[in-house]
Amino acid sequence: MLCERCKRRPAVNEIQVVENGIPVTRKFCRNCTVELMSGYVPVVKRCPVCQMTQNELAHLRKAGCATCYTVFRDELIKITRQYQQGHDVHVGSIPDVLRTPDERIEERLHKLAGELQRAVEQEDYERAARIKKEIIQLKGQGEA
Amino acid sequence: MESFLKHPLGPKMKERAKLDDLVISTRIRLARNLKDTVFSPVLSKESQRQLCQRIETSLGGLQGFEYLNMGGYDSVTRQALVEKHLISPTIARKEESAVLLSEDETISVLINEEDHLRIQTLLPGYQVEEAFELAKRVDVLCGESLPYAFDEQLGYLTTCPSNIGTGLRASVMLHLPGLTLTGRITPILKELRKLGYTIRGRYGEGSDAAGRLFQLSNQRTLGSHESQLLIDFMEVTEQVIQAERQAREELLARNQDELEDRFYRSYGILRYAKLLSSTEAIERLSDLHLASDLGILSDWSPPQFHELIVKLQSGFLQKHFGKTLSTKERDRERATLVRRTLDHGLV
Repeated sequence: MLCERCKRRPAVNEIQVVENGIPVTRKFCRNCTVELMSGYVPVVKRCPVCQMTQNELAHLRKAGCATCYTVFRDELIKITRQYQQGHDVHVGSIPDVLRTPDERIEERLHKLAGELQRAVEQEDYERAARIKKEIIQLKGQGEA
Repeated sequence: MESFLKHPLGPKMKERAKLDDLVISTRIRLARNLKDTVFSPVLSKESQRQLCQRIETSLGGLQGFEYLNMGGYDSVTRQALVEKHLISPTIARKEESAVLLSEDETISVLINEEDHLRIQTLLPGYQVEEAFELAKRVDVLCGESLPYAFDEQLGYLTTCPSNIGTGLRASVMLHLPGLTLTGRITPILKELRKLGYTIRGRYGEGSDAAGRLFQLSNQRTLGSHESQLLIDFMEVTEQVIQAERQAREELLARNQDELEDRFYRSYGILRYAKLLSSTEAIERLSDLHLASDLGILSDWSPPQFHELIVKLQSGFLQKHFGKTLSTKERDRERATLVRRTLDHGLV
């Protein structure tokens, strides 16, 4: 990749700069890095909510708050991959409050199907009938 | 609090359960944090106190639960709760922490652990799915009144990324004397670690774990659905169980005399010793437990073994006698307790 400043030499450094008040990460070549850094006082990257710095995070390998996962996203994803055998995507359940009513009905139906099967296997037909009734009711709600 | 310290095992733990000759207990833990509160590494004491209060207000009204503020109890009391596995050692060390404990002692909601909430369920024997269902129900309940920190890509956010995603840690406490006595435990420990599972001695690290009690748990919490993580965990656990059964059969077929000699020696020591360290007591009880599994010893049940290993720990022992005891006094009282238990006659 070419330097984002001179657009001629290959980029070798990633630096965070503030453009129009917004911090962005840019890639620069060695020459431009030196020019940019002359007289530059390094700004410590810090989480605005918990005040944890990048150095503290690298040392602790832990987050200080939920916002750290946004501010230090790259760093925390890297640590996550190291702990999680290379994985960095959640595919499990989500909080109930974030689910749509349809998703909730879907999950309940899935669970009831399993329960129905077990009830039939155990020849508990009274329970099976109750579960079946609930399934019919839920399906009615889903379609409504 | 007193009701939780009256007995070494909660009412549920005393019940017989699936595979309880080998699997002492099953534990599920879900790690959760709140999005509007900073996490434990930067949470001030004052904020920790406020968090306890907030959660008590949100969840304190739960039927059948008792809210216990850890700051209000001495270190021996907290240690006894750790020995019962009702709280974690981390919580026991913190002043500003609390636990919501269900009356039947199967559910603990730990507040101000490494994460804001650790929902933990504990059942006797091998009950991975049952323990998870229970934990999930409490999780849904907590999520109704508390705003969980959740990220679309990373799932439930935790203080340490080693718990991120599902926040789910399943663990079983296994009694593995067959694998230990045949020396097969060492390669198995190595293999399990390679597969991404943690296995450590319940009392002491590695293959020389006292009482041949091992805690097996999953390491990865991200990248698979909870149900898949549990299926994988159960598959690995069942392989270990099968290897243990095989090792026991071989031991019995090849070294029955040595085994019997070992059991009776341990029985003799437990029956007549005047001083017993907790390590020796657990070792010898492990022999008795194995003898009962192999049919050499009658009148001995898995909950009895479990009850004794909790009862003989130093915190619980001191609670039982209602005073602080020196190491030597503890060894004496421990031996007395074991003698009294065996007085009822086992062999």
